[in-house]
Amino acid sequence: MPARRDILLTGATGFLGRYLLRDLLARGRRVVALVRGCPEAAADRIAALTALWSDQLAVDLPQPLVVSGDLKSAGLGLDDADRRQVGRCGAVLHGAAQVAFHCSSGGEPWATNVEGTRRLLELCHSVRLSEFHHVSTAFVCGDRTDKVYEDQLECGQRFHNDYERSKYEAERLVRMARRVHATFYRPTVIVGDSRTGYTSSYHGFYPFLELADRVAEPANGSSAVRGSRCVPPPRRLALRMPFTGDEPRNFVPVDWVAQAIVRLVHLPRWHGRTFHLAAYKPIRMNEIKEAAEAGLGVEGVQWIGSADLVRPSRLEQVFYDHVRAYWPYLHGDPAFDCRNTRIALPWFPPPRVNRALLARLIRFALEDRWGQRSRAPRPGPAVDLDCADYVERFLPANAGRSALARVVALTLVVGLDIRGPGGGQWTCHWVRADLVSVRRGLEEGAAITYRTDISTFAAVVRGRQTPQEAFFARRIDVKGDVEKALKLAVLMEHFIKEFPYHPHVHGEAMDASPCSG
Amino acid sequence: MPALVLDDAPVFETVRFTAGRYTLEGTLAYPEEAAPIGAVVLAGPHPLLGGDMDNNVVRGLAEGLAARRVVTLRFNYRGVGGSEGAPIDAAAHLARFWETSHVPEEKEFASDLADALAFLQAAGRSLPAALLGYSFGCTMLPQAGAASGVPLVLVAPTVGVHDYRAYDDVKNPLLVVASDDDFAADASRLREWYDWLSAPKRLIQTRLDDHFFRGHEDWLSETVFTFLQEQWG
Repeated sequence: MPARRDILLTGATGFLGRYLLRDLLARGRRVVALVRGCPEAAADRIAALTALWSDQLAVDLPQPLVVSGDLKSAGLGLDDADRRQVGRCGAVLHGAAQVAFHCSSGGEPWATNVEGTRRLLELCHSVRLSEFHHVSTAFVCGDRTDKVYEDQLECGQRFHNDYERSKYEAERLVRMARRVHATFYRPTVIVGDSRTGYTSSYHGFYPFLELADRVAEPANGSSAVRGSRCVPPPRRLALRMPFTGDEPRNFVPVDWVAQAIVRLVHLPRWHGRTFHLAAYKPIRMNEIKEAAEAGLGVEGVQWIGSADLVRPSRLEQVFYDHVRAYWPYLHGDPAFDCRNTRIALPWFPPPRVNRALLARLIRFALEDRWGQRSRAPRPGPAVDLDCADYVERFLPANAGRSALARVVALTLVVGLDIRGPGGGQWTCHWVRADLVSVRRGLEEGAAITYRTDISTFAAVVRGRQTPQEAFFARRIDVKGDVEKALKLAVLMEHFIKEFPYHPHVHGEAMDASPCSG
Repeated sequence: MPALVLDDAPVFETVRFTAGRYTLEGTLAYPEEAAPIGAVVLAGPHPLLGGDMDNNVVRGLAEGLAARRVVTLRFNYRGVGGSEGAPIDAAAHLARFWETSHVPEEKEFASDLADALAFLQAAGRSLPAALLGYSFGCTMLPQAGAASGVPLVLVAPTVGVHDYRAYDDVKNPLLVVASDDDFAADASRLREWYDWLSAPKRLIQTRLDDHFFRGHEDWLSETVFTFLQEQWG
């Protein structure tokens, strides 16, 4: 094994950082995580994150080493032992950042983004750690409206807020540092996980939507039935917005950003460059509006172009006041040239952020009540599902009234092997479309056995991912008759749409049946 | 080592084209600067079995070939994703689909493929063309109206599930790639069907993750590219 194989990671408990941690560990890299707080608490937080990712990936990830420190303290607040530990690292991935737009009484975002970076560089210098990977932002371009290239930084731009300026200053510091071979990663607006919709950060894309969700008027009228689904009437949101609908927004999912960074960290021939981690084809405001209206169940938002808003209503005033920090970005994001990223990662373009992906992000945010649920002390993506309740109570109670019951040839024994806390093993017997029994344990002779982890199972039964998507993403394994497994997955997808799972309501007739109008 | 063109990463462009009375969505991928050497339309798997243009094989081949200087068009059949048309009424046909792997709507998909080919040939002008099908998509290649010299690439043809008699009269050069543990085409049955074909042909059968090629997309791109290079001269 080469010397100094460890990598120091800052910001490991942040939104992007926890994905960086996952992907570094999954790649077999030994990670030394710099984490705030007392040593025991810091170690607990990282251990919980690692355990969670291990469950989700269904592999035993190695535990990172944790050093307790703070970018805002002299010498990062490291004791001698931890300092020696950092000295054994061969590289640093600096992912910690403060995203406050405007200067707080605590001196943020400058204290973390600029002074923290300066202290980290000093430490690297003192322990002769030269390979420096710096997570910046594409918005160091400030108020530029022309095409932004990766090799550009200082172009006479002005800045919309302290966050942009502090990240710009941090990049300058790193570029000027002696004996540092730095690589820069500049993501655009990071949104939730492209697969699950998960986010722990409700900045950027989310504040407009959260506010729209909160201020929309309750609906009048009755629900409609579309297909087999109950669709409540739309809520009214009488807002005029200064968009044309054609403004480009450059969103990138957090999982892609982290994977792209970790891949580049392991491609030494590309080190020393700057990489724009941006959508190759930005989404337009019109598509966002359509996704938001459908996802939030609202209507009434109007685009008025760049014209001044005449006599804003009370609602409009409230709305504009709350999202004032984002006002400078109204006219859309500039075009970011991604030549370096395209060349270095030709096989790994960013996932297209389209209406389907936005719908997934919005679904997660609604379930997470815009961060209120996940602000409870629970690291990483929330897995809050009682599999036994679903498989033993909910499925048998409703299968007979679902698409499953219409396939008269359905005579099949199906095993379910769901790993992780709250998971379990079951065998389901269908006889001529009738789910006649669900027993605990895996029985020999099952025609199909599905194997997955608890978080994937939760994502599927909550409609965040279809069973087939999970299969093609290698989140579900199948043993046995693959063709029948794929077809049964289609039936299960219909079942999940027909009968959304609400675990806390026990009257199946109430929680599961399509609405009666 | 694959013949990568690392200094010319592909460009991805969303396109829309007319297919009958509908407008279908697709993604065109092509090298940003280098001159392309050919153009390929990809026909994806059955929409009820993971079949859209973002399927791992379809996307992997489209991007892998584009990185090797081949213009590719992947698209969604009518009623799938952002393509116009009535979505497949799966609920109405579930019983039949369970037993036969067919739904009535799929009859129209072959004409979607023909229109996709016409669109790509109009955009690509004089570039040599090829058609590539994956899984169910293989069934439709003979009906797409390709000229006689146009190579046809069949990835995981579903000879155990669907009707492949249309290939009896095909004279186009054929490449067949399949995994020897493919649930949709038993290895001996595939070999029997392949031996019956009268077209110039090549078969590559090896162990490749059943029907799904997950993790083998790069290998697949290189294999198909090598074949197309030979055919296009």
